[in-house]
Amino acid sequence: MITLHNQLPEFVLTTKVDDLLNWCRKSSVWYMLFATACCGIELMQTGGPRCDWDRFGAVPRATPRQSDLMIIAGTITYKMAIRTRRLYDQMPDPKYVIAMGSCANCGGLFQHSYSVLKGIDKVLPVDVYVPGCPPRPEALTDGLIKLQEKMQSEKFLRKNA
Amino acid sequence: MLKEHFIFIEETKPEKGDGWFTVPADKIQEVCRYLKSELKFNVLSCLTGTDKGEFFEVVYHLFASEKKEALVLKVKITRDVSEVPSVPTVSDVWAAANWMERETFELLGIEFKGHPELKNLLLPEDWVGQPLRKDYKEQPEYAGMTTTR
Ligand code: SF4
Repeated sequence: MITLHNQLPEFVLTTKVDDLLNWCRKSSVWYMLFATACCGIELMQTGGPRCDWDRFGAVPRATPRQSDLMIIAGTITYKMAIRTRRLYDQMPDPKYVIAMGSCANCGGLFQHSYSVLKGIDKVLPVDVYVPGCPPRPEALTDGLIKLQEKMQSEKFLRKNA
Repeated sequence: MLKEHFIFIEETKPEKGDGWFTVPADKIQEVCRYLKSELKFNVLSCLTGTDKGEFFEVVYHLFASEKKEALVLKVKITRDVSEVPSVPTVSDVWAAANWMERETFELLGIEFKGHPELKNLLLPEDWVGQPLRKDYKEQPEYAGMTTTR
């Protein structure tokens, strides 16, 4: 690295392959268009023009097979949990999960109900938990930035080698 | 008018709110057919059940769209541990009763005799217990997912 210093023309950047790959990955987090309850409304708002997730390179995809990120937006019942797990299994690696709102974190205000799953982390590994009922778009965006930080710090190549 | 026609019907009129008619379980089909054909109660707007502790109640909310009249029928079923509570179905009178009876069946375990397809409507097929019964005990897990936090 040191020998290269000041020897290349100015428009050439030097970086690590890991960093470059991670930068590409984190700037194109495609999330799955998937919501199960009222948090979904806030998710739509977050993806909409005012909060504009597109500026982070995060755009919704209608199929799990093209998504990197699954946002659990809403109450998950036991019946839905089985289907959610199936959707998650269809996503290609590397994949990430954001649990949005109290319901996805722990069952929320429905946690005494007979049919509601007490936290999506019982069926999927969760990367970022966003508290709130529902979390405001700012909070969810913060969650996305946290996730991007996580992606940037990963040793992507070494993990797969 | 209903009471003149069917002597076995009891009327309840509370001080506040609407009254209702209590019908014996085995007569409910007869009464409902009469209400639909003669008194033109053409809509079954709600069919549901309640667990009152000693007994179960099946509640029928009817509506006559021409006369703009509403009517409530109730059927009492005594709670007996040894047998499944059961009422004759009214799904052949109003087709709308089909799904509502299935819902009552899955949540309270009330059997609707003569129903064409009496199985769970929304709950999974392998569900254990009737969640809206007062003595319902939650299972420790469902399909490998623990039910406690
Ligand atoms: S956390 Fe609140 S807003 Fe979100 S799905 Fe649950 S109840 Fe609705």
